[in-house]
Amino acid sequence: MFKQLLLAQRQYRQISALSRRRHVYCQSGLFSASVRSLTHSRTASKRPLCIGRQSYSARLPHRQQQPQRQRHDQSGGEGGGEGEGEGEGGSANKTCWHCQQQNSPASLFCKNKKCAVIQAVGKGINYYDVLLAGRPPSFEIDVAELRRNFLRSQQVVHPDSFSQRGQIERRLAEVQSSWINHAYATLKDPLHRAQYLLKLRGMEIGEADQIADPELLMEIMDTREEIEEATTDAQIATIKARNDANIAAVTTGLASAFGSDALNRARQLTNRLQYLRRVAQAVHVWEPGKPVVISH
Amino acid sequence: MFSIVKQLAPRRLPSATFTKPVAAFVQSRFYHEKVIDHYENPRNMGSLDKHDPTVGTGLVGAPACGDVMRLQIKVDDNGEIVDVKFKTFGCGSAIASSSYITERVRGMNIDDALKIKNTDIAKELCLPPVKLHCSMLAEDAIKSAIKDFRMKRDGALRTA
Repeated sequence: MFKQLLLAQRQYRQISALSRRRHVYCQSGLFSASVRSLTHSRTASKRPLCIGRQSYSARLPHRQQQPQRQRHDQSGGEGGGEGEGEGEGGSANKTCWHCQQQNSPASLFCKNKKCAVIQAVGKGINYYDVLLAGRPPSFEIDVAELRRNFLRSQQVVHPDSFSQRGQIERRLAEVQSSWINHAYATLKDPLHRAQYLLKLRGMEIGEADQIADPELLMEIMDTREEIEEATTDAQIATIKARNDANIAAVTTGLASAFGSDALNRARQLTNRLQYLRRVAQAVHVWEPGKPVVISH
Repeated sequence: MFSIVKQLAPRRLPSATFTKPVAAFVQSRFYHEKVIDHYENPRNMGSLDKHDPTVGTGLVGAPACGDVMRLQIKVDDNGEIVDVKFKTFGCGSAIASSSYITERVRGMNIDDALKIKNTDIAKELCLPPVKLHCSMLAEDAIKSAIKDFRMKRDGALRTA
């Protein structure tokens, strides 16, 4: 009986030791915490700390943007201080609505460490300033880098992270997030990128412009009629292959036209790409026996 | 009488009975009864022989949306348009604009046809501002067709 008591005591001690040291999963990884601290009323409200990780409060969005701020901030100088007069691309510095600190036009947050609130979208900046680190606008871009910068920016300005903040910050977050979405959509697609580049140079294609040459229009007309009269998938596949080859050729041509600053040629090619895209859409929605209807 | 009034009224979607700001967005998606009529029953769709010396072919495109429109007119010696055919690849408003303009110019003199303005077409079809470029496309198409006919005729006169 004494032996059984000893065994029972040992088992109890083992079980207590296990329950005292329970491993719990937290947001960023595995860490160990005492069960007492999790269940005890006084400490239950405090989220357990992760070993070797930042605390919960340090992970909040307004604290997290410190590394990004240095990346976005191009005008030099650290922390609070006098603002620089020179902005990027001829656009003026913007004043923080909270602490009146001068910030660079493309910055998302105030560079004043004590303030660090979200900023309004700068005036006179273009999409390249925010999503491609202020590089001069070009047709050839690193799409992977664009996507990385887009995701990183959205992580810090998304309105969901500002649900507990004031009304002004929430509004600004909505505006910034929406602007960044639009910027990403424009720069990602070659046609929209080309149209945007032309707009930046003041050579936008307006609705009333008649710049398409008759040959192009005839070619497009014939292709559209071909699609209309096609009855089998094989015919459509041939048309699609031809059209995709044309689009690839035009995209290469656009890269060289923008690269060598031949804007008139770039304008012609952008126009051509618009028509070819419409053909691609028609091919995409084609179904045997049904009329092709594209909505835009 | 009531049926005529009903025909002229914009076709409403079933949910457009409330007056919230959403209704404004819903309204902008309306196609006028006339546009729908032209779209479903297009007049004069088809083609004429482009090698015919009395036929002028106008081929225009809208750079903003990538639509293409072809308008062909057959003109007699008096300068009167005796036959007209169109073919449009584009949105409902573009198809309606070209269909309407073929109806309008049939029997007209080419000098009078040149005077048609896109605002007339837009007013007749009740096109919303965002679709005004479709009416402009139709106006350009008829002008291009007449220009092509004149070039052909002048070319024929020079070689004759």
